[in-house]
Amino acid sequence: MGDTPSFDPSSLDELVDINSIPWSPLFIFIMVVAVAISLLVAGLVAYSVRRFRARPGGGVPRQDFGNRNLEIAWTAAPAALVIFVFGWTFLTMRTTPTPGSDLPDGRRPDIVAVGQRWWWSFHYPESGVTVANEIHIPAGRRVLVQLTSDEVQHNFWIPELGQKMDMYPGKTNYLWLEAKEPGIYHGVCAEYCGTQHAWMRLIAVAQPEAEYAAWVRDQQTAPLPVAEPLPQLGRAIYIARNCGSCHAIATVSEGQAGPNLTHFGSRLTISAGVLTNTPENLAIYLRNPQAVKPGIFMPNFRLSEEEIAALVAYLESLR
Amino acid sequence: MTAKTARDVPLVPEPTVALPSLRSTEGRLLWLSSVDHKQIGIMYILAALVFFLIGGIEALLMRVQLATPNGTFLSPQLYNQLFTMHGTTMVFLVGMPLVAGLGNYLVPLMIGANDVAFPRLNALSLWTLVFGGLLLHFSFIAGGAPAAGWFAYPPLSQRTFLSDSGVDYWGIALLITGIGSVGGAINLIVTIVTLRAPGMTYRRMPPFVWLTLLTSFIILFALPTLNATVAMLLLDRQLGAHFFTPYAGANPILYQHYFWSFGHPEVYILVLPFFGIISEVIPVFSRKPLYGYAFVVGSSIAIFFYSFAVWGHHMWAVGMGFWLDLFFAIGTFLIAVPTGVKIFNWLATLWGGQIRFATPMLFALAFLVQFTIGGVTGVQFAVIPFDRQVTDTYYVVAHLHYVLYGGSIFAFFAGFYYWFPKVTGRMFSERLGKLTFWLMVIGFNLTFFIQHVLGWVGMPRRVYTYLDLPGLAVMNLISTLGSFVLALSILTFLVSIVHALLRGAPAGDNPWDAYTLEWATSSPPALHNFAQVPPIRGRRPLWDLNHPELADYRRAGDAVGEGTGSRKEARTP
Ligand code: HEC
Ligand SMILES: [Cu+2]
Repeated sequence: MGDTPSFDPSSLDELVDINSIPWSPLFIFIMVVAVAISLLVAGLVAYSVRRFRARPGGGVPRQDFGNRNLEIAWTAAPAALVIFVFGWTFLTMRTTPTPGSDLPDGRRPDIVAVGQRWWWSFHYPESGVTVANEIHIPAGRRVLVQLTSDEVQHNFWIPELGQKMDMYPGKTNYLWLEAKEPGIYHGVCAEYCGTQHAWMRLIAVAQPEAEYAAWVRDQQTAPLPVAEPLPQLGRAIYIARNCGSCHAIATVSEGQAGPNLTHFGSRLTISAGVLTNTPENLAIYLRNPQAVKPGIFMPNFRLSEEEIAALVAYLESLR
Repeated sequence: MTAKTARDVPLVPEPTVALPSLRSTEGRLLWLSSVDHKQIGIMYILAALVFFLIGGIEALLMRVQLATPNGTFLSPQLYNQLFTMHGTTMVFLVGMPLVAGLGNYLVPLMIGANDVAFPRLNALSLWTLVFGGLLLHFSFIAGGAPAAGWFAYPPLSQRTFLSDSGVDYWGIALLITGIGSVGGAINLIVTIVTLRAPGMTYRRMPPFVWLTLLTSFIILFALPTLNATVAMLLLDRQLGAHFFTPYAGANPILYQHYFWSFGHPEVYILVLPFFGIISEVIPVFSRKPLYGYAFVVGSSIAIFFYSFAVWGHHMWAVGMGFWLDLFFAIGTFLIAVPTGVKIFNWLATLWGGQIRFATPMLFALAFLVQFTIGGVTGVQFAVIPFDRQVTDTYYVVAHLHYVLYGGSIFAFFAGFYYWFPKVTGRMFSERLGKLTFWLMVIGFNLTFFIQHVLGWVGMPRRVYTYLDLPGLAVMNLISTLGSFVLALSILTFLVSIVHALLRGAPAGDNPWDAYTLEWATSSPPALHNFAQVPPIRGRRPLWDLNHPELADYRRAGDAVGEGTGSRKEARTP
């Protein structure tokens, strides 16, 4: 058990296109069969209802106890059907890269994803980049994601880009992701993980290779300190309020309990999808994070409006 | 005030009537202390209906919350408690007592017995269930209901993450109801094996009795697994044991294996007895015998065995490894066959019949179509790559409600209306019954069909709200509207019961011209069921009695081998 047929990375391109799995012939086939069987049964019921309705003077119908041959036939037919679909499933699985617990030979993960309550941390081992709640991937290239969790079980799923796989503390799973086209793809945590499971969302931004490379370079460098006074003040408040005990910002703080904020200003959403990232929304969030996303581990600091304005200016400048 | 002596305390008198009046203290005491299988069966079903209303209200609250994106009707904490309680209630406090209650009431009557084998154990099983249910709901006022989902996966269900007592109440309540379920199962098994009337051979047992027998065996083997698992979880929570704590080196996935090795058989516990109801109702209202009795029973025996070997199909997102994944796929594909063929048997029973569209039959017909839909989506999960796409989404929610509501609960209503005249001695109003039926069909399908699409486009289950992505708001609103139609059907159902109890015409012994022994006695049945059991010379003793010229035992060259040659026949009472 457990010894997956190994996937030769060089032949990956010949494998079934994971991106198209939802529309693969196998899926279309089982959908068509499901609809056909449902319609068949509904049709037979409807027909019987009309044709064999009791009529006055209808008498006693023929007492038919069964027919062995017929019954063997309608047992054998579905059996043949499921064996056929099983065979097809088997072949698809051999050629579909969903490695699960088994790391494909000779591959290192491109992204290490760690589920947190209720946000995501992502690390790119190759480039040393750490981000939160939003990943960037090169369009048209298959990336291998390693999945683990910090405390409770989560599940990583971007419906349009690949299948879903659980994340456990103390266990590693792997999953292929591939975006055919550049674009923005929504993902979710698909395994119930407590109070804010609903707002444990993520975003994958698929970019053309060159853009992606530029993004990686951007992420590797700490954002330039901004000269204006308001962000400067914000930075001071960030330090004074000890935000850094939970958050990391390159060259400023190294907290781990919350999302990495180094390039927070460039992210699309706040707090794993609960708000879109605009200065107004960030102000709402900082005014009382517990009102926006109740139950999270980001406390309400009861900041003054001035502090909030300064923090917003600072955080949004981190691009 | 004089001191009371033991003599003054009213003793429970010996019961003299089948259904004691609730107006007198004595009558009420008779119910509470009853060891009569019919009264216990009725109380089981009433308890299930009360919990069904509670679980239904929980569901409605959730649907209100989900009617619009970013809903603020419920807090996330409350929503999570509600879906946990809804699932737990519907499975353990509705499904299980319905199974136990129907079996209790019907099995002795159907096999020509006076009572179950262990009447006191029977009473104990009932009251443990009620007590367990109350304890579970007590958690609401004792610091918060459980919020770990109805399968309470660790690590989340560990004290570290859910530190209030909800999960503890959940565990203790399950232990208690589990003990009751096992007691009830033993009782029914022994009853069926030892108390059949002369002539009631295994091959002549009504299909409902067969399916109850198999279900009881599944309960007997599956529930102890659950109880042991829950005990381990409670030990972790209460005594700091480390059965499932990853930070102490344990493997929380083990819990999932334990849980689903109970959980999948549980699905069949919640389905097989309802197959039994359908196998009684469809023949009677088609004026024909069940088509392929031996196939229906035989395929159920196959299900019994398979049901213990497919649990891993709940775990394909775990990363169990290629071959283990595949192993569970084989079983899941195969179990579809014995489940599916029954649909054909029921359709063939309709074929060429004289179908009467009384309310019970309408529910049974809707069952056929809805259960099929739930069944085919179930087999789809066995296509593992497909499962990895739709598992943990609303696709699963839709699937399981098509199986358990569109299937089991519709079959329950078929059975409820079918046996209601027997149990109460009153006919219900067909108009109210049909109104209930149509509202329920519309409400049910409106609520749950669209959820297939919701899951397919990526809406995860167990979320208290959702992002306003295209289409989600509309689909969720439709589902919520549907759930209110469904709720309305429950109201008309209650009205139809009350109406029948107050105004219903006397039913007579056998209003449907049905086949099985329970229809031989009066309605409601006398205290000890039968003054005399009619001769049992085939599978349909009452048909034989009422249509002697067409009696089953007269058939030449009896293809099913029944009705001839049994030595037991000579001993007809
Ligand atoms: C006790 C630890 C803790 C402290 C202290 C803390 N935070 Fe947080 N913060 C968190 C956590 C945890 C999250 C993620 C919440 C979630 O989405 O579940 C978070 C999220 C955020 C986010 C959204 C991040 C994203 O990726 O979208 C911002 C912005 C933020 N915090 C700013 C601050 C500021 C400013 C301070 C100081 C005033 C601060 N935090 C102090 C724990 C903390
Ligand atoms: Cu999660």
